[in-house]
Amino acid sequence: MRGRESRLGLLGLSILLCGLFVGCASLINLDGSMKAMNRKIESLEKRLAVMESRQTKRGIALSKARDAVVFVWGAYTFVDSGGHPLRQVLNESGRPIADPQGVPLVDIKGTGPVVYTNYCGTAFLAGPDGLLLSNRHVAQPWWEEKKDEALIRAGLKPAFLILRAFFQEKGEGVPVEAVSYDEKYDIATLRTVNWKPETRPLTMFPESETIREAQAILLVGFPTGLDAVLAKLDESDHAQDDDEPCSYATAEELSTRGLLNPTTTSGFLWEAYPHVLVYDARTVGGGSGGPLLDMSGRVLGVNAAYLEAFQGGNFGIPIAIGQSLFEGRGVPVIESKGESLKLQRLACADDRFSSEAGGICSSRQRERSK
Amino acid sequence: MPVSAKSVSEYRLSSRGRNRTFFRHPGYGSGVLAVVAFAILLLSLPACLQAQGWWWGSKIDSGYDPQTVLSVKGTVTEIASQERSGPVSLSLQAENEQYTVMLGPQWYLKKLGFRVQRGDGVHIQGSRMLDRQGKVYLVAASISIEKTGERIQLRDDSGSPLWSGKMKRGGREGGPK
Repeated sequence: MRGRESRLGLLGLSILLCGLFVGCASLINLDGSMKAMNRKIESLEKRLAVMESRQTKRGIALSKARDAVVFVWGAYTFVDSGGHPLRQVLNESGRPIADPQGVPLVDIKGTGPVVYTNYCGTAFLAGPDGLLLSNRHVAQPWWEEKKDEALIRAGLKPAFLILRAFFQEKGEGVPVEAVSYDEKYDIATLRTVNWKPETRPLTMFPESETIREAQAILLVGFPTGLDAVLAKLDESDHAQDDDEPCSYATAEELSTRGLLNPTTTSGFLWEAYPHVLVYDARTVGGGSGGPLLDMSGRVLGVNAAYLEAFQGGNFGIPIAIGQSLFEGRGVPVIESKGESLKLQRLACADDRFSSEAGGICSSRQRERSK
Repeated sequence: MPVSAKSVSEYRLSSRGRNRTFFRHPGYGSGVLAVVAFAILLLSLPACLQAQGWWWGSKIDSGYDPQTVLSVKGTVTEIASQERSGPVSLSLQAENEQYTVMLGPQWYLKKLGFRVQRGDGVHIQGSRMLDRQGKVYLVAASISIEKTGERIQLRDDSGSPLWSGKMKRGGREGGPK
């Protein structure tokens, strides 16, 4: 009997010991799993914090970029060696001769109003004292412009009637002038005249780092000119006098009311070459000269061109080429400055020109309800 | 290749020498006349160009020639308006010809409550013009829509646009860069 009892007791003890062992082992394992899980949670929390921080930084970067991006509005004409600008040719009834599409017939000997070409684009603050970076075809819109070639061949010289930049911090357009351009690539610097912005310039991507392909990018600018800006507005924000909605007057009014905000698109940088960047962030005419940014808000390049039939590959000039302009390696713009001063005098001296030029003068006369 | 004054005068002299055969051979004669006329035209071309200047600048209101006004009935095959402030144009299939009809700025037509759709029958009075590529345009002075009987006046008798005040004649903006 005793032997049987002791065997049963031994068996019970063994089971108890096994149970204890399994229990301890499970506890140890559970503790390990818990620790591993905690480590995973910590890691996830850290990653989430980094993502949130990136998101916040991206928001801050975007906000800074928006402040530093400006809408450029210009009107230029051509003058002969005596400084006489192109004027509309009038018919016998005194009306301007134009083709069915509205392109006017112009001549230095024309007796109608001074003729000009309006255009708009984008630029951004890239240096101290109002130094802006943009495309050469924004700073010098006649550059490689097919419709201007015949006039240049005829010995006429381009001259600005007005070249202004609209900053977020200032209501009215600020006069700007071209400073320098790259001889080969579509990039140029401009500077504000008689006014210095307080907004901080954008940070340039360091030359010491390599621009990575397949990275996410942001593109800020004014594609479509004022159309995209107007499309974002509430109906009540539209000007009451809504004729000619894309005029200088509209730009000035929108800017005064703090509504002239750039458009942002995003995408990826797919190819990076020393002379060109290729990306898929959407853009169109008007976005020229806008900054191409990495997600930290550093400028990788300057938006320059797109293929009309294919939105998958747009083109920018790498910022390294822009930095070479800051270092004085660009071609200085001397002629344009003189011409723009000459035209400024002309604008004041010639009443007809002032009232008909459609740019600053007529828009000032046509004050709109705010 | 430009034709110089000298080469034209030489050609005239030589054609005089062939006076008799010139009239006996109608085909040859008309050819010579055509060449002479063409040469004169070429000779006068540089002078014309100098007098005319260039087609350039931000777009203003379409041209309008009161001498070429006609009435055209047809069907709208396409409606196009590229910019907010740009002109609205129609493709019009008339009985014998296809026209691009220039109406007026989008904002003005909107103001008038003008509506036209593809397939609508319309009656347009306007100036028939050619652009520099030879494309036929009709710059509309008025348009009537058959199904509604609505008639919109866009220009006065002289062709002056009704949307254009004196101060707005200088032009509108060009394309963004």
